[in-house]
Amino acid sequence: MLGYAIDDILKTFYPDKDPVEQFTSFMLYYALADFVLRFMLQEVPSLSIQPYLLFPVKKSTLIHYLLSKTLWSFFPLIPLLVLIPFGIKILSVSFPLSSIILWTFGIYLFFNSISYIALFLKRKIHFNPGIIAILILCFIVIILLERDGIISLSRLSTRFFMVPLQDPIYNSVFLILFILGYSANFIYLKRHAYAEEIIPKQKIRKTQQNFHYLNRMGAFGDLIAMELRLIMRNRRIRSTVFLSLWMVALAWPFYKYYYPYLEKEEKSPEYKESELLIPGDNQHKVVLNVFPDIPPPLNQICVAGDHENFGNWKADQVPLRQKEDSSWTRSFIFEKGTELSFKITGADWGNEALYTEGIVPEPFKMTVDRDTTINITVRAWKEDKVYNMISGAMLIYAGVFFIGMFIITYGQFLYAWEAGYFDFLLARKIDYRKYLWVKVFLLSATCIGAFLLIAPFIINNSLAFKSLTVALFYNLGINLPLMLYLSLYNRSRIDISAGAFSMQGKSGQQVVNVFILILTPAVLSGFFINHYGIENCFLILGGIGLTGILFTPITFNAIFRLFIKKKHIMGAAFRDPI
Amino acid sequence: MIEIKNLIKKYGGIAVLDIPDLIVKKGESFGLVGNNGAGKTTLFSLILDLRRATSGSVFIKNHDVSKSEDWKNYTGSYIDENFLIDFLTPEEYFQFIANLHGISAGDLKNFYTKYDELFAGEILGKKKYIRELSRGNQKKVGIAGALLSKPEVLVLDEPFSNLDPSSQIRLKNIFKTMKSEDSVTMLISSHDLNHVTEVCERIVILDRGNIVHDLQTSNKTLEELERYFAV
Repeated sequence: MLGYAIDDILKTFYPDKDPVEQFTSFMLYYALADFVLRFMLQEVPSLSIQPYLLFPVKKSTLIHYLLSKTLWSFFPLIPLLVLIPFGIKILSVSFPLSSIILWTFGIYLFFNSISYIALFLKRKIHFNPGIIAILILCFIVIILLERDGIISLSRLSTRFFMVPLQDPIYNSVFLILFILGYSANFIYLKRHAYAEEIIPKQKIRKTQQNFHYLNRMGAFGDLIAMELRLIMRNRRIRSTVFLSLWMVALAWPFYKYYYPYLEKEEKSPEYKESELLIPGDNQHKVVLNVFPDIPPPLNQICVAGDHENFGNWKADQVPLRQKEDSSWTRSFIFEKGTELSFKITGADWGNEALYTEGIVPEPFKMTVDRDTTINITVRAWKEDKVYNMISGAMLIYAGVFFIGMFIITYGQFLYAWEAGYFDFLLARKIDYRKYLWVKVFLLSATCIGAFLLIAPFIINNSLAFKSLTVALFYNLGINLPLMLYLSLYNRSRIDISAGAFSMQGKSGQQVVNVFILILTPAVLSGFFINHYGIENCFLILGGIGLTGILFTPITFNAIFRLFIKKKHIMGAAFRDPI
Repeated sequence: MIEIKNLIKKYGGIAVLDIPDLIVKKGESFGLVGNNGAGKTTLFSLILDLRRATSGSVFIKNHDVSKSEDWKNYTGSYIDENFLIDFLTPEEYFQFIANLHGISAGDLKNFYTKYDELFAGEILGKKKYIRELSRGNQKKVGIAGALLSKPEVLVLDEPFSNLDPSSQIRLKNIFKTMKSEDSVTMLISSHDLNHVTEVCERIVILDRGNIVHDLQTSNKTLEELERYFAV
């Protein structure tokens, strides 16, 4: 579905660019992210052949089998799911079917080679936090270089993926990469084919995580320390932390690309200067004055047009400045004879300026032949209701997701993670009230932490910032107690020693829980935006969250009583896995 | 010390445990024997409030275990690995229990010295998580954890299984000292008739959830037990 709609999505946000080019420009980013994720989380699939090593099967056959298993893992298939419909819809217009098929296959090989390279590196260096730090550092450097325009990964990406599409022979690059990745693994495994060599041996590590600061907090601190150890020392649980951090990292491109008026305020000093600019020879000054009858919905007015100064048709790149008399203005310098075509927007193509209510206008056209002042009266804003509703709900949805990822991934199994020693918790002198407060405290801390990590990036984007704050309140006030309650019913014993992506103990119930947690605020916000506008929607949802926070002691007591009531049933379920 | 009244546990309508009346006196060492499925672990779980009784109650020091949590202050227990927090090192595990019971650092040190022999240098200071220890060593950690809080009541399920011979003997000696010096009320279940007759002064045979024999240990007890189980 995403694949089929992707060109429409791209057109919505980049109306001026070729969707194929846009799509390919994202692919290298995706590949990079894919690589990092794999490196951090993917299981080295070696344990599974250990039982067969004793059978009379040739070792190389076993290794081929082992390596081919990776081919069917979920990750490399994701691009295929997007690519095939995309290929059918868009590429078939301009490329022959044979090269599309070859290209799709090539991409599939490419993502698999990434998986093999990640695996190989992982086999070589094992799990080392230092490596991850370096990877993250590289990532940041790439992002910074990209931002400052020193390198352009997106242009590189376009070239890298476009060329094989145009000339299928270049698909062989993907094939070579694939063969390289595969054989590197093969040779390595062949050389180290004894079980004890393949299985990454856990080295004796330092276990002295002392948490001195927590020790001073008494029973509460002890329980926190235990829960932190639970998280840090079990790979499966650790992966929930990585996933949450990953979400925080995703928030940055999301707000940058999906809500691009991110850096608008930073540009504000620039246009004050431009007003002082005096046109040189063969240049003219063009002043835009916009008089809105109704204030713009996002409190922003921009000009978008076919010139660099007009942001190349980006709806939100060139904001106007509001004057005291509620008109908006900005001045520009153009070369004599420049032909211009532009529209006025409310910082979003969903909020185009209308000069007659209900009719979307054609762009203004003019040729710069003298100093000009253009006065435009805006009668209404397009305020595409559906568009506003969806994008507002999307903001809430994303915010709740970015901030609440830990509640979703870790909170799902809040008690089930401890299935392995639940009897200890029952038979020992544990203060269950404190035990539950620790969980509230930890989950809240991750929400606030995620908020603090994302907020600095979007502090200038008032809409995104407000939505994130609302999402924080909602997560703390509603989702957190809700998860505390829902996970009481998650009674399958979780094997925390299983791998990072283990599906053991997972069931449809978790999917339902996620829907309850994430979709409820999204649907609510859609409804409120539709009826009361986006600002009021934020107020209402934030209010709901705040009320939830204020009522926490009461909901907590209810959950506490329920926990005491249910602990025997939970214990029984954890003890005897079905 | 421990009083059981009309205790019935049913699973799916079938009673797996039915004990109308049982009293364990203070300082008594109580051995529970029986074949697999006799209900030994179920009984211990009910005493420790790990499972909810279908009817009837267990009292420790006159407190109903399912209503008050007082008994946790003076009861030490180890049933199985579900009592171990396996991602902690043994030291962290002991420290956690010590904190729960307000045991000072000095006392914890004494505890380490006291059980040094039992640990046989394989448990402390190894920088290993409990999950990386052998079964026998895990069991030692669990039992030591149960003893750490100097309990008045001790409930242990199969303490001797998985232990090597030397450890079994050491553990037996520990139990004997606890009995004579601290007059701890001990409830021990075991498949090993030798050990249990040696440690316990009272032995109860459980069969399909019912008490079929209640013996005071004498030099004939072992014979008697062997005769019973030989059938």
